Amino acid sequence: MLLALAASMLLFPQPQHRTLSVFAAASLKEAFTSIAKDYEAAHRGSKVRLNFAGSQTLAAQINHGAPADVFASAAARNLAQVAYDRSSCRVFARNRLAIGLRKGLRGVSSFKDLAQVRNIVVADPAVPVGGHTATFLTKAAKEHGAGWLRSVRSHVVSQEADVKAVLAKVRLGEADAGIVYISDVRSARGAVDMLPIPDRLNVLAQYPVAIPASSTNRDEALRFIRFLLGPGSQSRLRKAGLLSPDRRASLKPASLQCKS
Amino acid sequence: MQKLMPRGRRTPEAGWAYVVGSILLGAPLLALIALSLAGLLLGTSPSEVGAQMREETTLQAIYLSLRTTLASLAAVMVFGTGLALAIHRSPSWLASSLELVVTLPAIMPPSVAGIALLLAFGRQGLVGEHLDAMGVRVAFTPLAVVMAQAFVAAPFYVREVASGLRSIDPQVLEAAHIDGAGGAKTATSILIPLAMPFVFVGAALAWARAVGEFGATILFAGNLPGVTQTMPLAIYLGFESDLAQAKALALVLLAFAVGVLVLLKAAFHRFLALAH
Repeated sequence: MLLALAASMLLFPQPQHRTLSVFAAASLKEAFTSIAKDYEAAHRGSKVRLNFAGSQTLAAQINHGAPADVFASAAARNLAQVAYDRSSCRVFARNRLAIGLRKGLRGVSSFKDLAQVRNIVVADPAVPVGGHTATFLTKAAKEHGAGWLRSVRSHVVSQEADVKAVLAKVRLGEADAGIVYISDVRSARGAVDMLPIPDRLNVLAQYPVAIPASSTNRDEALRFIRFLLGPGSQSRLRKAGLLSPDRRASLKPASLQCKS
Repeated sequence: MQKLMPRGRRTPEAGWAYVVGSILLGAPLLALIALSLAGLLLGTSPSEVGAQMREETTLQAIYLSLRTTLASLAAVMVFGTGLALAIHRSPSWLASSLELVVTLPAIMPPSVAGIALLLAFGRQGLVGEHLDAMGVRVAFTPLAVVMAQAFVAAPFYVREVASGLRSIDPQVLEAAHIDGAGGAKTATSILIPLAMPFVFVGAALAWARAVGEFGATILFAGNLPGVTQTMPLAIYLGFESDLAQAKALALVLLAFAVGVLVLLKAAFHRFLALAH
């Protein structure tokens, strides 16, 4: 057993002290990939290791001992599932839902037509975007009736484990429509058509970031969070289709913003 | 399945020093398996499992797994027997190519299988495009689950049966031929009955593999409770949202695996007793 441990340590050395392990929601993939590069360029000798998945998966990983120095979640409820340093928590981005349509799909000009679309893919209710999807559908049902909601629900063919899996199914043409974030449709660069959801029915997802209690690299993690709130990273996030946090909200105490 | 093969003579038992020494050498591997199983068993209370067994989503996943794996097993047994017979009696170049193709799914990562299935039978896939034009949809249906399971389980059955057929004395076939039995008659009344123990073992292995299928299913068939969410998928998603359900289903799958192993051993001994 000791021999095997020793061998695995040789083969898979533990990261150097300067490696910062950042766990980020799947919807942040494009923005965080460039932000991490910017950060490495601005801080010589620092190395950022990124791990993308559904926020609920990341929370489960952290709770089972995965080494995370920064956790950027798509929902406060998933951040709340892990032990984290409350003073480090900030809302750094916001996002809205959109409907991604298979390229070439006809006869759909408004979200109301979702009831006529045959193959709809959504995220599992455990995934943040899956929860927001349920909220949007409930709000929309108040305008269009329970019949509309039933018909949309009956056309759902799969509940995926993260938002990028929903997008992939639409991109491949397997699904006609998928409910994702605006930033995801943007990331598909024209491979998926966007059907907007009006603001009154939409959900404003707040993305909190914090340092998990198990982090062994707090100083660097704090520096990364500051960098994330800086103008360069914020412009990267906006370019990826996310929204910057509300200025007024960022003046409130951090603990308030990060509650679910 | 070498260990289940009939043996003429029992290997003599070694001294205690030898036994202890070799177990110590194998201890890390043994501990890896035993400790994980202990963790699963000790981490779940019977009342928790009992409560989960009354949950609709849990029962749905079990029922769906049962239905889809029985369907994929039936498909694998019918078509797989055909392939095994072909491998047995074809010219060697053809037999080895057939064997290679049938073995591939066993050594290919299931996620690769899922992508491959999607690109072949998905709506814009090689075959799927034409199926879609005829109004047949495969992806996201229980049929997709069955196809993913058959894909990954087939090698276990076909290889087992083919090796069983190979172990039959060629003189038996010659005798049948001299007695005037045709190819089909030989296959149904001589080859398959003689290879029965291997058919049984192959089916059990294929079934166990199909029940555990995850990677290809989640990519090709998606995840919808009651339609395509089999037990392994429910465990994966439950791990993140409903750990109690994940643990209960994991125990059911573990019990299933133990059951298959015990059944295999018992049945094989019976077959051996009958054959002698």
